[in-house]
Amino acid sequence: MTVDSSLFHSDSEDIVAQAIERVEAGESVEVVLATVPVAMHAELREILLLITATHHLQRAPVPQPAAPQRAARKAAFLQSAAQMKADMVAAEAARVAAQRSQTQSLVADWFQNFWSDLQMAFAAPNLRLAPLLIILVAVWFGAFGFHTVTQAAGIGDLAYPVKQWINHQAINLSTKEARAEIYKDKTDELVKDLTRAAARLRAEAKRTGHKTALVSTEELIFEKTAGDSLILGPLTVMMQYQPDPNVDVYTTTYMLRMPSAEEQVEVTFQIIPTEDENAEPPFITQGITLTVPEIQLEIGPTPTSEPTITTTATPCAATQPMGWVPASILPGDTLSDIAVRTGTSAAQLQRVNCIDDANQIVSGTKLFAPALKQINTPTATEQVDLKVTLTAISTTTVTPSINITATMTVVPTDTVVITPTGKMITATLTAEATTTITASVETTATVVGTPTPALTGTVEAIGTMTATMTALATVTDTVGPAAGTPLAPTLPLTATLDAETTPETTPTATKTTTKTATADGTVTSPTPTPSATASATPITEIVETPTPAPTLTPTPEALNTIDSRVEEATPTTETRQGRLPTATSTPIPQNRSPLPGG
Amino acid sequence: MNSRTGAFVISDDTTALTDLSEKALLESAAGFNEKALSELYDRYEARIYSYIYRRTGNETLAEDLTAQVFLKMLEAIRSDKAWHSSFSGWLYRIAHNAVIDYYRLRDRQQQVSLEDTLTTTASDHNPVVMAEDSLDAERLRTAISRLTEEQAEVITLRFLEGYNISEVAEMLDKTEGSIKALQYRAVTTLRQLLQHEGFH
Repeated sequence: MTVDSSLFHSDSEDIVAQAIERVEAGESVEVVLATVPVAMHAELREILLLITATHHLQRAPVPQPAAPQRAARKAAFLQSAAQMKADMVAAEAARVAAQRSQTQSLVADWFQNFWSDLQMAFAAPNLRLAPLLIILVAVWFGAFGFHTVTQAAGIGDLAYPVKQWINHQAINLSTKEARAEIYKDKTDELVKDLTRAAARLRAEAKRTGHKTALVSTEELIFEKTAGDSLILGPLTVMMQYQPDPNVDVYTTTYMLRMPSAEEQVEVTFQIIPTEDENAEPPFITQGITLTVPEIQLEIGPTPTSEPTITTTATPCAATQPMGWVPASILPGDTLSDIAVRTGTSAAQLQRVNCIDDANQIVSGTKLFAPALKQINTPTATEQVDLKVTLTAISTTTVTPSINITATMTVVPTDTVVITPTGKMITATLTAEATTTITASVETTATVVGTPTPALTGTVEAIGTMTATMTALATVTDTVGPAAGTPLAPTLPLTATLDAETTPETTPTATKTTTKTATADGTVTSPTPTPSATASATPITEIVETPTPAPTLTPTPEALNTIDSRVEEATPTTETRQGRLPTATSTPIPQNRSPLPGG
Repeated sequence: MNSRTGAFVISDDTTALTDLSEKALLESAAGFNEKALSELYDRYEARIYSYIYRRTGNETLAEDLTAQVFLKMLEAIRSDKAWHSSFSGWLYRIAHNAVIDYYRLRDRQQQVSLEDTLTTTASDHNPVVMAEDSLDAERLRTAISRLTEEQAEVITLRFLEGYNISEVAEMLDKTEGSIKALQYRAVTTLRQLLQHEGFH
C-alpha cells in the first residue's frame, strides 16, 4: 500500500502537471477530469479551479506607469550605474597609484579612513557642519596647529582630504556672491598645490628612475573643451590617462556625458610632471573619471584664471576699439539697452568703457559702442526712421503687456537695425540689393512688474520699402506678474510697416520721402480672450478689433520719423484717426551709431 | 530566449545592441557598459514590473520594487555576485525576494492575521483591481507569499507570468521533473491555504 501510495504520488505530479497544461491549453475542467482516476477528482478539481483563478489574475491588465515616470526611473538607474562605474574606476586608479608610489603609510591610511568615517557620520545636512565645528573647537582651545597643518597640506599629504573638505564647505556655506571669489582662491591654491606635488614627483622620479602619478579628486567648473582636453577651472585636463605613467598606453577618461559650460564637475585626475621642468604648468593633468553632480551650486561666472593679469592690475583706461564710435547715453538708458541697440553685450560695453558699476551710467555722457556697418551704394543713401509704438491690451484682465518702441533705420542694400528706444525689442533688417529687405526680429525684453516676453519676428521690405514685421511674443519669464493679471504665454503680434520712399541721393541734409506705415498687432491670451487685431498707422491711435482691421495707409509727407501707436484694444471695430504724428525730418549722417551722438 | 551562438565583440560605440545575443549583452552589462545596461533594462523592466504588480496588486509599490530590483542587480554586478546561469531567472529571484521582503516587513509592522492582511490590502492597495477581480486575487497573492520561496517562484512564473515547465526549469536552473514536483507541492499547499481561508 505504501509502495502504491508513493507511486501514486509520483504519478500525481505528472497527472497534475498534464491536467494543468490541458486546462492552460483551453480544455474545460470537466473534460480534463474525465480522463484522470476518479480518486483524484476532488483534489484535482480544486487545483484546476485554482489554476483558472490564477489565469484570471494573469489576464487582468497590469496598469503601466506613466511614460515620464518610467523614463525618470530608467535615468535614475543609469545614473546609479554610471556613479558605480566611476567610483570603481576611480578606486582602481587610486589603488594602482597608491601601490606604485607607496608613499602613504599605514598611519595615513588610518587617518584617511578615520576622516571619511567622520564625514560619513555627519552626512546629514544639519550635521554637516559638525566636523568643522570640531575643528573650530580645536582651534578655539589653542590647537591652531591642526587647522594650519590642514591648510598647508599638499595633494597626497595626510591632511589633504581635510583641507579639501574644508574648502568644499567654505564654498557650500558661503553666499552665492562670495562663492565665485572663494572658488577662485581655492583653484589658485590648487594650482600651487599641484605645482608643488609635481616638483616632489619629479624629484622622486629622478631618484628612483620610475615615474609616478598622483591621483586627486576635485570639484571644478567646466569651461570648454580645447582639442582633446577639457578646461576645468585652472586645469587643462586631458580626456585620457596613462594607467602606468611609464608606459605610453592611454585609457579614455570615463564620463557619462560631456558637461556643459559653467557646470560643476567632480573630476578624478592624475598629474604627471612634464618633461620640461620649466613648463607652465610643470605637470600634465590626465582625467580618469568625470561626473556631473546632480546638485549644482550656483557659483556665478568663472573668474578669469589669468594670474598675470590679476596680479599686475593696471588702472583701466577706456580705449576705442576698431569699428566703435562714441555714443550718447540717453535718459533712462541702461547698459543692456545700449548693448541691445548696438548689437553687443552689456559686459563688453562695461569692459571697453571701464565701467565698474553697470548701474552707474550717467545720461548725457558718452561711451564707446559699436557703429553700425554701412555698406552703401552711392545711389541710395536714403535713411528712414520709423517709430512704432504698439500698446495692446487683449482683455480687461491683462494690463498693457506689450510695448514695442522701435526706431527703424532703413538704407537700401544695407544692413539695417531696428533699434528700440525703450527696453522692448531689437530687430535686425538685412537689406539686399534693389531695396528688398528681409530681416528677422529676435529679442528678449524686460518689463518691470510684468512677465517678460521674448519677441521674434520677421521684417521684410520689398520694392518701395514695404516692411512687414511679425513679432511673436512668448513669455519666457514670469518675473513679477501682477496678481490676478495672468499674461498670455504666447502673444503673437503682427506689425506691418509699409514705407514707401523716394530716396534722393543728395549726400546732404534734404531728402524727399514719402512713406506710409501700418502696423498690425494681433494679441491672443489664454484667458477667455477675444483675439484682437490692431492696425497701426502713422496716425496716432489705433484701436484693436476682434477681426483684422482694414489697413490704413495714410501718407505723411516728408517724414523721417513716424509715430504709430496701437493703444487700448476694445472688442469693437473702431478706428480713430487722430492727429498726424509730429513729423521730424532728421537727416541722418552716414556711419552713425544708432545712438544719437558721435 | 534569444541566445545565439558565436563570439560577439562589444565596444563602447556599439549601436545595434538590440540585435545582440543575450549572452553578449550580459557580458557587456557586467562591465557596466552603459548601452548594454540600458538595453537590458528595456528588455526586463516591464516584465519585472508586471511580475511584481501581479504579486502585490499595487502599482506604486511595484514601481518602487522594480527600481530596487535593478539597483540590486547593479550592486550584485559590482560585488561579483551576479548571475551564473539564467539571467532572467536570477532577476526574477531578486524580484521575488523584494516582494517577500516587502510582505515580511509589512507583516512584522502590522502583526496581522492573514485575513486582516487580505482586507487591508484589498482596500488599501488597488480598489479598482479588487472590484474587478474580486477578493480572490488578493487572497491568492497573500497565499502565494506564504509558500516556500521555491514554490512561490514556480507558481508565479508558471501561472502569473505564463512560462511553461521547461522555461521555468531553465530559468531556475532545475530539471523539469523537479519543477513538476515543486509545482505539485505548491498547488496542493495553495489549495489547503485557500481552503482554510474559505477560497472557492
